[in-house]
Amino acid sequence: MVRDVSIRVCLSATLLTVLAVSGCSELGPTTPQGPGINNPIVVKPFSGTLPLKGVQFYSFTVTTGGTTMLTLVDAKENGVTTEALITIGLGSPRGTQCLASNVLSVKSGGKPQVSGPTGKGVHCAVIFDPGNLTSEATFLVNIAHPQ
Amino acid sequence: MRSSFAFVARLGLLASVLVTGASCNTTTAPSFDNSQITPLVFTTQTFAGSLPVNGSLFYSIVVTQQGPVSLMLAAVQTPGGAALTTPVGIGVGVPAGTGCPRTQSQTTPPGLAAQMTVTLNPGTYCAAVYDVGNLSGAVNFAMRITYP
Repeated sequence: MVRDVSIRVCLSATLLTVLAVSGCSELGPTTPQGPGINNPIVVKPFSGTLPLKGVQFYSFTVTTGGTTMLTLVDAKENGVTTEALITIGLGSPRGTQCLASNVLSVKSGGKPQVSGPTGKGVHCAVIFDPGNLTSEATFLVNIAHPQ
Repeated sequence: MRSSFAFVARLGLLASVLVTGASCNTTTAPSFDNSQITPLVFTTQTFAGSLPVNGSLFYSIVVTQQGPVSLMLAAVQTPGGAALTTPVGIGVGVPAGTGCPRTQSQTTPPGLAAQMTVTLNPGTYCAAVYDVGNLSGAVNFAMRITYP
């Protein structure tokens, strides 16, 4: 009986030590996690009209680093959701454009399609028609970025 | 009485020596290491385009050193190439959304000297050209942006 209690005390002490060293408690993390992991996310709707073979971009400022995700929520030609692939991407404003380094041609959907690391600074989300549209299209891109 | 006088005299002498010693040190000009000063290196970009009536256009730049950023609206012309003196708006801001919200701006006719100079910290900024209501038709413009 005494031995059982000793073992339990010993195990509890070991567990507490492990939790303390790893920065955990029953209430959750107690030490800061990696940069960007717990940063609040801001979602900005970027909507407009995309001309045939046209480009539109939207600039946003990130004050703490983290991952930014883009979702082409909707794209319509003549009021009807289009099946055409439209290119969206992440980049930095340069000159009169958004210099994108991370692009993907997608159809509209509910899940993030493009994501990438965005450090502190000004970034941009870009949408352009690579030549698949048959008429101008209205679009909605959600930009989820760290504050 | 005499010893008091001597004491006061010695005290005065000591005080004068201290004052002299404290105020007559050799002074030298402060020296600093010139190698710690980073000379500003400037980049010049030309921002040209067609400005529609009531329109606004912008050009994004990356300032890498704190220093002066200057805008020179060099020319405003008709689409046919005739020079105009029509004042238009120019300004500086940070790109946000689909535009360039200006933190500093002014209305100016074109000229061959910088019309606006602002000191900016390193970061991404935008230079804007916009119609303040003076245009009756689209115009071509050329602006020179110089930044460190």
